[in-house]
Formats: sequence, structure tokens, C-alpha cells
Amino acid sequence: MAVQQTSFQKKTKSRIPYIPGSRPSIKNTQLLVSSGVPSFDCVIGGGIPVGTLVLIEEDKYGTYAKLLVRYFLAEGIACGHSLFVASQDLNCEALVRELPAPVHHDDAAPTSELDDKMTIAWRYQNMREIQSFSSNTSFGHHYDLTKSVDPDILRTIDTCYWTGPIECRQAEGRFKNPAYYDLLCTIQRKIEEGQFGVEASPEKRNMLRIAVHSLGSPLWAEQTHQKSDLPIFLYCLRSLLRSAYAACVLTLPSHLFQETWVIKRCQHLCDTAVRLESFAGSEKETNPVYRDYHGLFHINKLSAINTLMPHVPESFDLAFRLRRKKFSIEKLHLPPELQGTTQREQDELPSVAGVSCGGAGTRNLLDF
Amino acid sequence: MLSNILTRKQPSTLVCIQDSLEQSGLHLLRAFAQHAVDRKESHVHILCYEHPTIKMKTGLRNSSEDHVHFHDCFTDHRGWIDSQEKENIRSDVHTKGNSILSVLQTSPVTSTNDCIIIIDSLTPLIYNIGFTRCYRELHSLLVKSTNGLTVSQVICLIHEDTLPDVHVALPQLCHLATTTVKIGSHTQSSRGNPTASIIHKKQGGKILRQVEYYSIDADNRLKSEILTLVTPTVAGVNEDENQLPEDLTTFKLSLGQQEKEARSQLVLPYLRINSEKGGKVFYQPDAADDWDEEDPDDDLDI
Repeated sequence: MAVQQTSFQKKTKSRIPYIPGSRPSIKNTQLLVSSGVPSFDCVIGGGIPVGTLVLIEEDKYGTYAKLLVRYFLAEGIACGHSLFVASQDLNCEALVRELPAPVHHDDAAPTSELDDKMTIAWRYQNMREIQSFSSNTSFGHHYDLTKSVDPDILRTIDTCYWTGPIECRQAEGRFKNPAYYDLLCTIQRKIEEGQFGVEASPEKRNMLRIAVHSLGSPLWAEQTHQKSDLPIFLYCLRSLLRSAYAACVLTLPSHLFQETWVIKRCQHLCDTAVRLESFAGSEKETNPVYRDYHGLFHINKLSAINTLMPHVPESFDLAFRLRRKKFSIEKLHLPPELQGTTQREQDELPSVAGVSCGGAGTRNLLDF
Repeated sequence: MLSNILTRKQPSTLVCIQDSLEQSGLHLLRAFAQHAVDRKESHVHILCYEHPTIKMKTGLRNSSEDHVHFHDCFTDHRGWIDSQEKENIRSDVHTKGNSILSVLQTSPVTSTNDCIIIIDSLTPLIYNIGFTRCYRELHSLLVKSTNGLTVSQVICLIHEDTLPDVHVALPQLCHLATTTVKIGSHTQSSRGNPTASIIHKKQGGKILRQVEYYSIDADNRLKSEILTLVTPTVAGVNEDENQLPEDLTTFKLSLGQQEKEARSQLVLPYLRINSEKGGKVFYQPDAADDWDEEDPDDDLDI
């Protein structure tokens, strides 16, 4: 009897090309790149899927959003990716020049966690660590904010800047604002020239990291037509990215937007949307509940690319903390109550007058 | 903190003073200008949009020195007198509108040293060229060096009650500014002086917030002090509670000297007198004791 041949064939050659600094997702083999913050990668499901758009709504003073952009670009330098930096507010070249250098593991202090055994609270020995999002060292790095990246390494990186539209350029198509149109054209040209498209077949495939800082800030505005171009821009950009080996992070100063519909549309048109809420300058800075953190991390949207089972993080109560060598996003924990507080909240209720011997009604000075 | 910003101990590139009809911030601006003039380290450009230059000149001491430059943007605030062509005026093209950049570019300053720019009010400029362009000009002043000028500090005044689209424009301006000083009228605790609520963004990203009251003397010198809120009502209630109302009763409510001594010598039950040694347990076995030989924690894996 002849062996019946099945049409089933084992896929021997992976269709996913190997690009340094990327890895396929364990869930759906979607190619991922690191955002430069390992805990951020964990929260959004392993990393930024290639071909997607990540929206970061800026904190009020923009400090931490800028930091995330810097980490994203620094990770690109560490992996040898091409960079595209766009901002009208910042000096892009200075931003790239001052990117942080990765922390090498020899520098990092040896961990002596095994040594300190708990003698009294031994029951807690086997508890998981507070940091709920483990950092995988092979993918994504930690960066030292006090050290700048080596200029020699920087020279080998293909970097492209966009600092504003060329004066004479006119917007075309649906666009009324030349800034958005010009940026879109520049990105498209970069994808074509650098052969980052899926159809292109370059000798050595590389990844393009696009960072747009403070999109839609007052410097992007035109007098007459305020924000209507922003959603169109995001829509076009997203469709450009889908067919390219590129990942984009953009920050949006949404606290300056009066039109809430713009923010909603922007969230809708991005694949991942997060918001930073810094404690700097707010009342939460001194609140003992938030003592250990620098701000809250809100997730508005997570991407569901090529999957029916999208990633859902363990908790949505997230906070971030910045240290010199590490920016981490953690589950929000309340700090331990160490000193006994004199009063609990419910004790502060005004005492009922009826308890006193003076009887009900107004409290007399002689009541006890 | 206000004086730290004035003396530039806290460096700040864009100081934005917001005032309203209730309390003018012109005196504070003048104090800033005076300090910049007296330092003599850098050129001072004073752009007068709202008042004739003579008003600022007479208000400042040593204002005729070489490094102080006044720019009159008030008399010809839309550039109509200068342009002379009526066609241009009617169609509103080519009128310069006295934007900050065009004023500074036409000024004959040879020095390339850093300079301080003082704008007596942004409001007329915003009326003329629009907020967006004004914002862009302020931003480009701070970022790029324009025409050989490197700007080290911009101090501007803005009237928040006259700003068009104030709920949009003001947060945007605060976003750009490194220091925002909001002038308020005097309160009970500021002893008749105007108050200033300051938000200062430090270089590293830290935010300082403070409310102070200030006074400016005839020589444009600034004195500022932290505003401590006095809450008289709460304090009054507390005092009443602590005082015993002795004259209200026929009882004796207080203690005399002897009585206090007697009270201090009384040994209270359960009071620990000698606490230098550790505790001891004295136990006398009892006939009814039920001894449990088994280890109660036997099942635990210690």
C-alpha cells in the first residue's frame, strides 16, 4: 500500500526574519521590539509589536514622557536600529546626543538576596518580590541616566531628524496643517529609502524606530484649523507602519488639549495608549500612600495584533518609579504602616453630643 | 523663592508674570528689569508693547546706560506708520506687527553676548499677531540664537483677564514657561502686600511651588516672604478648649501646688518602677495544671 502523502508539511524556514534587538512574541510570534524599559515591555505584553504605534500621554510637566522617549531611542542605539526623531519643541540632535548609556551587568551591584534569610517573618521568605514584572535581561536594557551614550557608537547609527516643516511646503489632500503632512511625507520617504518596508529586500534587514515628541503641542498648531489634522495624521502613520519594520512611540501633551474628542480619537487610532501622571507639583507628591513612587501609570489601550487572546496585565493599578539606573513600572502597593497613627479615619467623625452628660444639643464647656 | 528667581540663584529661562486688573504685576516686572540693569552682565532689551518707553525709562534707575536698550513697539504697534503704503495696511499683508523677532533683528546690537529680554506685556502682541505666532516666537527665542543674539532669559508680563481664549492659552503659556508667577491681590495674612503664587520647574524636572507675598520699594528692590496662612477661627476654638472655665463653676477645678506634689508621688497600680532589668516570669505550679506534652507546632515545617 502506497503511503498516502499528506499535504501537511512542517514549516522548516521561519518567515520571521531575524533582526537584532527583536524577538517573536511567545504567544503569537508577532515580532516585538523593546521599549527600553523592561517593565514597560512586560506591562504591554512583552514589548512593542513591530509595525505599531504607541501613544504616551504626557505628564503635566513632560519630564517622564520625555524620559520614555529617550529610553526608546537609547534601546535603538543599543540594538543598532535606525532612528527617526521628530519634535518641534526640543532640539532633536541634543536629545540624541544626551541619550543614556546602557548599564552593563558587571557594573550592576551583585545581588545578595539569597543571604538575608528571614528569621522571624520566615513565612514571607518564599513570597514573590514586590516587583511584579520580572526583567528579562536578553531583551531590553536598563540605562544609566548619568552617563551619555558613546559618541563613537552614535556615529554608526543611522539617525534622521525632523524639527519642523519646510516653510514653503503646502499641505495636500485632507491635510490643512503643513507640519503633519510634512512629517508624514518625511517618514514615508525614510521607510522607502532605508528599505524598511515589508516588500523591500535589503541585504541586511534593520528596524526603524520612530519617536515623535510632543505631537500636537502649541507649536504644531495653526491659527484657523486647530487639531483636526492630528487624527488624520495618526491614521495615515499607522497604516504606513503596518507594512514596515518600524515601531513608533509618540508623546502627546494631552493636558493642553481643550478638545477631549481629539484625545479620544488619538487613543482610538493608536495600538497602545498609556498615560503618565506625575506627582511632581501635585498634592499627591506628599501623600504617604504614594511615598515610594513618582507617578501613576494608566493604561488606556493595549494592542491586540494577530491574536484572539490579547495580553491582559495582572493589574491596572500601576505606578512608576525613577532611579538613576532604572525606570520601573510596578504594581501600586501601599507602603507598610510603620508608625502607629494616633487616629484612624473613622475616629475623626465628630463625637455625638448625646454621649456627654450635658445631654443632647449644644456642647457646653463643662460637659465631660 | 521669588527673590531667588530674581537674582537668578534659581536659573529660569522664561519667567511669565500673570496679573489681572485686581493687582498689577508691572512693579514686579520693573523689579526684575532693575535687577537685570544693575547686574550689568548682559544686554537688557526692554520691549514696550503696552506703554510708551518713557514710562519704563522713568521707572528704572540707571536706565540710560549702554547695555540697556529700549524698543518702542507702542506708538507704531502694527507697523503702519513705517510701511506708508496704504494698500498694505488695508490688506494687512507685510505689516510687521512688531513681532519680538523682527524688533530684535532690526536693533543694532553688535555684541554677541547673551541678553535678557523684558516684555512689558504680551497681551497687545497676542492681539496683533495671534497667540500661536506669539508662542512660536517665544519658543524660538529660547531655543535658537536669533541674529547673533543668544537669549539667556525672557521675562514677560501677561494680563490673564484680557487674554482671548484664556482657558486654552494660559495653560499653554505655563507649559512653555519655566517659572510662572501668578499675582494675586492682598489677603489677610499678607499684611496688605500683593501675593505671588510661584510654580518653578527646576532643570532636573523637579517642581517647586510656593505662595509668597512681596513688596517693592522706591528703588525697585524686591522683598518677598513666604505666605503663612493664618487661620484665626481654628486657633480661637483651640484656646477656648484648653482653658478651664474656672469662673463658671462653684467647684474647684484646678490643682494647688501641694496637691500637684501629692499627685506626682502617688504610685499608680501597674506602673513599672524598675525598668533596668528584663522581665521575669515567676510561676508557681498549681495542682490543677494541665500540662500538654506535645509540641503544639509539630505539624508546622519549621
